[in-house]
Amino acid sequence: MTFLADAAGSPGPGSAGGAEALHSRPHERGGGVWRAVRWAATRVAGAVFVLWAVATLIFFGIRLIPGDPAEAILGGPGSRATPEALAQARAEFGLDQPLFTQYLHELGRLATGDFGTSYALKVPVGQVILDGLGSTLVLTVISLAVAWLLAIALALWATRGGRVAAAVSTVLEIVAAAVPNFWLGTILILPFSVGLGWLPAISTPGIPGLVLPVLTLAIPLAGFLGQLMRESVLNALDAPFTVSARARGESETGVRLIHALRHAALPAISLSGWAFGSLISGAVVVETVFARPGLGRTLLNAVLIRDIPVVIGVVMVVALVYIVVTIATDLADRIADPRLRQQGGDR
Amino acid sequence: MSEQDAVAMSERAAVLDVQNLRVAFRTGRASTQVVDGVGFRIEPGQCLALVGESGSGKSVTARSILGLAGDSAHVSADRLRVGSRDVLTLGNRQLRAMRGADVGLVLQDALVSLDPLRTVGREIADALRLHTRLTPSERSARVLRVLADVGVPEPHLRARQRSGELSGGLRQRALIASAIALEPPLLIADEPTTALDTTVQEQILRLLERLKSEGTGILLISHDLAVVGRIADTIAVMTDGRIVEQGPATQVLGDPQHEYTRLLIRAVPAGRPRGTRLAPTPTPAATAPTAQHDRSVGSSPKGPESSDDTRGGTISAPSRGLGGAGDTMPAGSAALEARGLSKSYRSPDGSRRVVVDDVSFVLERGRTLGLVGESGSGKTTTARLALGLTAPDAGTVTLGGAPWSILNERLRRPERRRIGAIYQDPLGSFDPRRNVREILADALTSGRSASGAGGRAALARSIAELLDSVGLATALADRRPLHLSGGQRQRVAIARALAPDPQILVCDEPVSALDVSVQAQVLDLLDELQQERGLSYLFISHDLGVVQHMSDTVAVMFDGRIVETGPSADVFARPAHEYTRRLLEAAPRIG
Repeated sequence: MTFLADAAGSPGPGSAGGAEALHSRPHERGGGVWRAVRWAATRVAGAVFVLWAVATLIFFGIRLIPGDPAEAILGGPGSRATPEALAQARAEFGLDQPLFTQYLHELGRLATGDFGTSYALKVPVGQVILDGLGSTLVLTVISLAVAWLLAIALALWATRGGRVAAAVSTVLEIVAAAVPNFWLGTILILPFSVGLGWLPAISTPGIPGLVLPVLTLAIPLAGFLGQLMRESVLNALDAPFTVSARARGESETGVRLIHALRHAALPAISLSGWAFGSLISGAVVVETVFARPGLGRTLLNAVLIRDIPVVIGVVMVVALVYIVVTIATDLADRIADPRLRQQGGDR
Repeated sequence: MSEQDAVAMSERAAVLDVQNLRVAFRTGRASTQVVDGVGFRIEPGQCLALVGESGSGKSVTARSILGLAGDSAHVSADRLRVGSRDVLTLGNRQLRAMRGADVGLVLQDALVSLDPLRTVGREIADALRLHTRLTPSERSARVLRVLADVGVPEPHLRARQRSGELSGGLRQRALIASAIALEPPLLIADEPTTALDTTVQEQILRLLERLKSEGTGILLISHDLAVVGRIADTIAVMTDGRIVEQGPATQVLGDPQHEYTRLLIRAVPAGRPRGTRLAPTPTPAATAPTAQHDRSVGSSPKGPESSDDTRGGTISAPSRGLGGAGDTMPAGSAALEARGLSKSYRSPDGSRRVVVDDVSFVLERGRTLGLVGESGSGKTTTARLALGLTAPDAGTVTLGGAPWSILNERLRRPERRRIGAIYQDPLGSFDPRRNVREILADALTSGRSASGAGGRAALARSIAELLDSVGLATALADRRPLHLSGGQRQRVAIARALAPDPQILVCDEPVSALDVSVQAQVLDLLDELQQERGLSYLFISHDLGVVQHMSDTVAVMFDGRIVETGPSADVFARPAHEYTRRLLEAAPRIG
């Protein structure tokens, strides 16, 4: 057994090189860096393209809504502004320019990160967004985490608790995935706020105010993720590697926690980017139902009063968040599933 | 010492003692007896091989020993002892303590038998975590020792890799390492070398042999008699849940008593001359319209003496298959010729990998050219080049002297009917929603629907003829592929390939997924069809025995090149190339 001799001789490289040792060639490490750079460059270019497309769509789309933006600047149709005042407002906000010139101006401003001034509030849009962003991100991130926890619990219980658990959890998942946010929100308010008075119906600062909005957002998503995970848990529990694990003396709990759950998480992680997007759109509804300050409510109000800079700004920021989250789930995918790293391909 | 004491002593010494093991599976109210009164014992340093085909109950037997037969299984036995433990009386916790420490289990294909998301080091360390109080660093040190012990070079690197990153041989060694990390006195190896290349299989067998010599008792489960003959001391032949013959390996292989054992041995193609039949009668039971038929062959063997003699033994190669149906070319001329074929692909890291490198061969009319090599040697790419499915980077393929590879697809398509293909996994090549009749009708009409009553009647006749020619009952025409046995599926695949009346068939590992006895029937069928229709076969396989049995000419592929080519008899008798010699030495054979 001569090949055993060189095992002791060669020093162990860093963990990055170790993963690829089977296919390693001298230039391998450089190739890895180049691949990472190319991957990052593709992502950035894609993000820029998406932001441009979103800005363009919104810019032209919002002009399809009937009405005069200048009226909105002066306080809406009810303000009875004089023609002179309207003309002055148009000139001030560049609305008298040809549409395409306005578009180029808008793109130029957006490119420098300047979202302009809100028509209605007369404050920089950046300020308006910053006020709402934190609250919405807290709501959506916590909702995503809660949805994951519920989904994992549901999937484990469904695959462990026998036939009754499987049937019950299937029904739960389908019902949860099917209920709309606005309905669920109202349904939750009735017993917990109106009936029992445990939790505030209108969102207040602090944790109690978060519970109902978070549940409203998380439950439908948990139903969806739970269905997905249960399938993959069952597949993993049938796989030969779980037979190997049991034959090693692993307990049923160990088989689930160490092996099955990780396999089950893969498809759910991939879908979390999409899920986050759906949470943000759900936040528009939930923030309205619970009268909670946030980007969703800001956006809804801005659309209603045709506050174009705020609408564009909010949509751009949401698009950016969505892009960042998508890239993050892509990275999480690669961490959870080493096979993706090895293939080096983009999904 | 009285006789009884001696018996007691030897019983204590056995690492595994099974008597009258019965396993039944309940589905609803029905109960199926899968293992029916199986018994054997294994002493330290001994290897007992449980041989049988799929569905014979051998894997269920293995799982029952570990208490892993499943919730719906009802296991009973007069005796089921692993070492001193009585498996049937153990609770869950005691069973877990036994698994891994007293018995190790090695499954087929480490790619999926080790968790693909975890490093092999962690998988091996799990066994130590579950059964010892070693600290994590002691565990990793032990993992490296075990890996080195099973012959994994550079264990500190390999331990950090996952099964998908290791070669077939290394990952199988890692799987074995995870099973023997605690040095259990009994190792159950369930098809441990199936799906491995010949040379790798040889290495794994040698490793098992060494464990045996160090005192481990081994229960080896396999469908392959040749593999088993290599290391087993005792062989138990299993079919339909029963052991039909059990005895010392040399006796069972050399002087088989039971009919089913004889059938299995006869079905092994290695060393059987070209043209001899492998299955008992000319595809007798193949027409039986049951999906279980492949298994039931063993229990109701047809006339034992009806085989070789019906064919008059070996048929001399040059006279074979000339003047077959639709033959328009002179005998012995090239049906397909490849000249200087090369093909390379880009790896993910940007470098180019040459998969086929300057490959030339001639497939003569009515003959079989065997292409043998291990996985990754470029066999399948060569097949795709021959079929005109992939364009070569360099070189040409000509079909019956006419250009083929350089044609553009529009010109090539009408000619495609001249060359057909069958693959290892026919199921994947069928539309699962269509039944056999629809599949064949499509192939016969190239997807156009038959017009008029006359056309439909003719189509129905052609379908019946096709089914008949591959030995399938017409009643099967209404089945969907999913409800056919493996052998029946491959017959349908052959019928489909024959539908446009081709002159050439490219057979890419056509029998690799089949049980030995079914493989024998399919090989016999291919042989028959060649003689009836004058077909030319490009026959690709990693299995030397199969290639030797089927081929007139053999080409040995290694690393994208053909390293040796010549008449089959010469290559196998006097291998000229070093690699061919290595392959031949590694190939397990009976006797």
